[in-house]
Parts: sequence; structure tokens; C-alpha cells
Amino acid sequence: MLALLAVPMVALVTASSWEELVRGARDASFWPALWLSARTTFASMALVVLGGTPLAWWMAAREGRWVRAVEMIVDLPVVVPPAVVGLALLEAFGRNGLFSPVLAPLGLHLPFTTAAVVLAQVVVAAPFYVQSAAAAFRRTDADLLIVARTLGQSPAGTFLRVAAPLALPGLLAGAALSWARALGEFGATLLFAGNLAGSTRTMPLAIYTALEADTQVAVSLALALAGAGALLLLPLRAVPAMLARRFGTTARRWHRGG
Amino acid sequence: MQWTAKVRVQAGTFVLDASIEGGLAPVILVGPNGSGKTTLLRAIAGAHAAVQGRVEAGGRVLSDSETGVHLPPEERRIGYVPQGYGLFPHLTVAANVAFGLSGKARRMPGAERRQAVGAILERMGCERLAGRLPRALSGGEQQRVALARALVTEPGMLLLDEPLAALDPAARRDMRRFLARHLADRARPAIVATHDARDVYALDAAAVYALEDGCVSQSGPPSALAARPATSFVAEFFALAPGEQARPDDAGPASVRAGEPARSGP
Amino acid sequence: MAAAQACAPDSPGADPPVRLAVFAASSLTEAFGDVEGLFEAAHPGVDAVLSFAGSQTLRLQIERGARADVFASADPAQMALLAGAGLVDGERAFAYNELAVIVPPGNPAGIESFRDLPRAERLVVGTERVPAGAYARQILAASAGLFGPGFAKAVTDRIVSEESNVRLVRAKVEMGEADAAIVYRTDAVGGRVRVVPVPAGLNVEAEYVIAAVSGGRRPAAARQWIEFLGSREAQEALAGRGFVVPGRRGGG
Repeated sequence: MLALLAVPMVALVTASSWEELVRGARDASFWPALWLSARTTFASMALVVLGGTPLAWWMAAREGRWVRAVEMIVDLPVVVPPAVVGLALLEAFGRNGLFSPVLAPLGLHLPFTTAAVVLAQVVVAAPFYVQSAAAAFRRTDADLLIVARTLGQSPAGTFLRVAAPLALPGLLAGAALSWARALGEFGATLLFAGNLAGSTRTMPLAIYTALEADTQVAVSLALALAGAGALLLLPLRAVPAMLARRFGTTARRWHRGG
Repeated sequence: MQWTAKVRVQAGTFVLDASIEGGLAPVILVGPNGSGKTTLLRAIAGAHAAVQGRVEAGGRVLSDSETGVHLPPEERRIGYVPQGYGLFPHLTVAANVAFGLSGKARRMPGAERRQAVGAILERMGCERLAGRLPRALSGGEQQRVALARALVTEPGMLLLDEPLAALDPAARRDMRRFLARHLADRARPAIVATHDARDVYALDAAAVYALEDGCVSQSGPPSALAARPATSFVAEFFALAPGEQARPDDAGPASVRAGEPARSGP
Repeated sequence: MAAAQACAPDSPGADPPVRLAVFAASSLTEAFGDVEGLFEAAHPGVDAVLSFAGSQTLRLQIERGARADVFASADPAQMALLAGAGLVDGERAFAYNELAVIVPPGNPAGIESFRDLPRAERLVVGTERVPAGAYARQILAASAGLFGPGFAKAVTDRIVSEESNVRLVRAKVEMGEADAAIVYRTDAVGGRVRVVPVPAGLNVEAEYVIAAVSGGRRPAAARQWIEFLGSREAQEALAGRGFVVPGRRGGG
């Protein structure tokens, strides 16, 4: 399995040389695409964390039919092909979409804008964060939350001072995964946001576009993207592990009793 | 200072329906695993939103499903020490203890707060632990810190869930003595859930409530339960403390000196 | 002729049917779909398996050893690359295409002629790296003579997306997200779009070329497919999808 995951990447690296990597980085499409990817994924991650954390908290605190229904909705974008997500976004926010009677009078045209790129990224990436965050919140010792309340904290204070810090490793791991998904987002963006250098052509679209003309540029761009991704993933992976070590085992120490 | 708790909670198929009461002298909850001790303590602390019945302490109504009163936990002034102590693993001992003095309910200026934290840690004999994280503490130390954290807010009532269960025998003996000394001042009512009959005598309990399957199967002074157990659980519970069987039936709880039984044990 | 081939390893008469792998540019999707039915009726022993993608992508796949027997390219340059590497032989033009402007059925921007193109709030074209996009730019560059020097810039300022696939370009208009797009004339046939013609003097002649892939496993069937494209029924099928076929070219 590991070989299957690693071999294509290794092949990509060996198919290229250092000079070609440099050439990819010097290609006119490289920096605008990288900068756009950085900007849009930063914005989409902010939205995912701000909106996803309360949702995950709600999902973790409850059980039953409603929560299962919500979990299904959250998972949907993972199962559905991204191109279909893009189509669905057009049906919702496009010019003839469900919300066009609301959006058009406000002068809001989402398709073909950078905002559409962000929206597509949010939809495909949020499930990874929400599920990971909900799992982290579910692992939190319920007694700690009760104790915090009896010590005078409001629900919000309890969340900010106890639940969130304890779930932090899980939240960060989820954010890393989610960010990676947003960075690689292609299909939904292509359909919903279009493909224009500087405004909607993110790295994956730039690679795809380059593939139509010059494979070597595409490979170089892909390598540069993989490199940038690895650089950003490294700290996102390391911090949760470090935090988990620091908190030790006490959070897990409680026994159901009578 | 009297308190009463009449509580009905349904959690899945499990139903807890219990009515207990007491005054300043400690009340002991006993019962097999899963009988509802923790659920009852959490209900009194206010952790369950969907609770039927009425909880009242010192003339203050904490919850009453008849009138729709349901104070949130942060307004109940109840100190709760769960099983496993519930220390916040990401905070140092000092920050754990200071936690209750920085919330909305009892905010205290920094200097005053540090002083209060220092004082209570000293009283609990753990001032040297102030800078440590909970995972670096022994079980007994964690229990003391948890107690300090609950008491520093001066709660109107103290709920201790199996305070000695996770300790090794030597630490348990020490801790039992320590708890007995701290509850002996009768500053506030205390409800202690336990597995060990020795705690009943050591803590000088006024009453014992036996919970089985979510219901009170027997209640009364410890001596009455020990002498005439109504269920096999109660009989076995008191039989587990052989040193106590020899005690005369008429020995009232008040005549049991705090901490004595553990020391006079074999 | 059938008798002459009876002994070939991929004899059309043999059982089971010979599988012929045809790689074709995506703009040929419908036309080759029609041709496939006609071809298989005429050659019962051959099962043509069609694979559509951008000409560039197909060229890449053939370079990397894809098992194609026939390659039909919308871009002669891609074919030339393969020919240069000795990977195809016997290439020839079999159809011509030109560009057209398409607008959604409702024509929200009110584009009635090519001159109105700057009225489009949102215009979609192919990237300059795909043939349709390159041709579109060629037309705009040549438009100054007809519509004035500022025309090309006024149009390119309206471009909101450059798609890497001409079918994606059309989809944006079909869904009503774009006010107009420049595509192949053939893409306008059968789509839920309205066509606005490009002035004859400006339009380009996009050549479609076809060749057998060297080292393909079905050389005889490949030859049959290529020859079949010259038949009257195949030419009619292509014309029916909007292609200009050699027999009907004005003066050609």
C-alpha cells in the first residue's frame, strides 16, 4: 500500500530534474497560481474553522437521528465527485440558480470570481475538518466540561478554555487534512469558478492547463506544488503530535461508574 | 442547612429515580457499578438539562421541573470532583486551582487570586506542586489538587465521586484520613459516592443511600444498614469491612471518630 | 477487397470481432459517434472503441505507449509532433471546422452579431494553449481591420474564464453562466445554445487530421476506418454535425 502511494510521486520526481523544477518555478503561470492558491486556501480554511468548529461541537454533544442526518450531509461532498459539487454549486449560486433571485438584486455574481474558488474549496474541504473536530470533541472527557461549569464558567468559556484546547491536536490535524484537500481542489473549481489566470486559476488548474500545452511545465509545476504542500503540511502534522505528548494521558483517565 | 434532591433522569433505557436529603454531615452514596451514583451527582451539579424533580440546598431552589427552574451549573455553587479527579490536563496545578476564580461567576483580581490559590494549596499540603502539570502528579496528589480547586471557590455543597477508588491501598488510607479531616469541619454539605464501607465510618456519615438499578434500595444511618441490610448488595457492602462488623449495633455515627477505623484496622 | 484481407491476423471476418482503438479530439465526440455506427454496419467484424480527449492529451498518451490504432487530431501541430517521432504515418486531412460565437438561448447580453461581442459581461474562451482558444485569439487579432483597433481589447477584457477544453467552454454558456463564448461551429450544433456567426473574412479554417498509429495492433482495420471517413455516408455524418468536409468546401 505504502509503495502504491509513494511510487507515483517518486516517478514524478525522477521524471524531472532540478533544472526542470527551477524552470517550472520560473514559468509565468507559477507564481500567480501559487499566490492565488495560498490566498484562497487561507480564506477557505478560515471559513471552514469558523463555521465548522461550532457544527462539530454540536455534533459531538448530541446523538440520535438528527445528528446522523447531519453527519450524512457533512460527508456528502466527500462521496460526490468534485465536478458534481461544482455543478451543484452552479445550480445553487449560478445565474439561473436557486439563490439567484436573492443574489442578483444585490449585484452578487459568484461564478467566475475568486469568491467562487473559495466557496468550492470550503464545500469540498469542510467535511474533513468537521469530522475530525467532532471526533476530537467526542474524545474529550465529559467530566472536565461539567467541572468547568461548576467552577463558574459559562458554556462559551468552557468551550474556549477547556474543550477547544483539549481538542486542539484533533482540530489541527483536521485542519491540515482539510487544507490539503482545498489546495488540491480542481473539479468543483473548474466548473463553478472557471479558469482565468490571477483570479480563478489555482495551482491544480494551472497544472491541468499546462498539461494541454507542455507536459514538462506541468510536471515542474506539479513538483513545485507538491513541494509547497509538503512544506506547509509538515508543521501542521508535527504540532498536534507535540500537543498530544504534552497533555499526556490524564484526559483519557476516567471510568464509567455507578 | 438542609438540602434535598429528588431527581428523575432518563438516559437511553436507563432511568434514575431517586430522592435523597441531608444536612451538613456527609451523606454517602453506595451502589454497584452502573446503579446511577454518577448520574445522580451530575444531576445535582446541573449537568443534565432534561431532569425531572426538585433540587434544593439551604433554602435555594437549584432546579424544579414543576416551576421550570433550572439553574445552570455555574450558578449552583456546587463543588464537583468527578472520578479520575477531572483536572484539566493542559493547565498547571496553580492554573487548575485558579480556574474557578477567573470565571464569570467569581472573578478575582490577579494578586488576590494568586494569594487564594497559594493559601488553599498550602492547606492541602501541595504548594510545592503549583507549577506542575497534572500528569506529573500521583493519584493522591491529583485528588488533593482537585479538592483544592473545588474548595477555593467556597461552594455551598461538595460532591465527591469515588474519591478513593483509583488509589493504591497506602494512598487510599492517607487520603481517607485527609478527607475525613477536611469534612470534619462541616462547613458545607457533602455527598460522597464510594465502593468502600470503611469510608462510611471514616467520614462520619450521617446517612447512607444504597442505589441499585437507578432506585434507592435502602437508606438510613450506617449502623442501621449494617445491622439490617435490606438487599444482598447492602449486606455484602458492609461485610466487606470486617473491622466494622464487631462494632456494637447502637454505636451511632456521631460516635465514630473521623479517621479512626482505618488506623485501627489490622 | 474483403477476400484479399481474409488471411490478415485482424481479419474483419474472423470471430470474435476485432477491437479497433480510435483516439479522437473531443470536438469529434458526436460526429465520430455517428460514424462508428455506420462503420460497424459496413464492417461487421470490427468493433470500434472510441476514446475522446483534448488532442494534446491524446498525443501525450500515444507518446507514452497508449494502445491506439487511429488518432484523429483537431490540431495538426499535435499530429506533426507524433509524425516527427515516427509514431504515426499516412496522416491526411479529413474535415474542416470553423469558429462561431454561441450565446445562451435567452441571449441576456443581446449579442446579435460578432460586433456586439464587447456587450458580453462574461465571455468564456479556450486557453491559448488549446486549438480553439488559439484560433479565437487569431480571429480577435485580425478583427481590427473590420471593427477598429480597440475591439480586440474590449472583447478580451470581458473574458472571465479560459477553459482547457472546448466542451467546458460550451457548458458555461449552456448553463447560462456566461453571456457568450467562442467555440467550434460544430460545438454549436445540437447544444442548447444560439449561434452568432463569425464574419467570413475573419473566420479560420481548422483542419482535422487523421493517421494510423505506427505499431498499432490492427493496421488493416485502422486503414479501413480512415478510408471509411472518405465515404459518402461518413462525409454526410460529419457534415450533419457541422463539419466542412473536403467534397463540399467552397472551391476545394
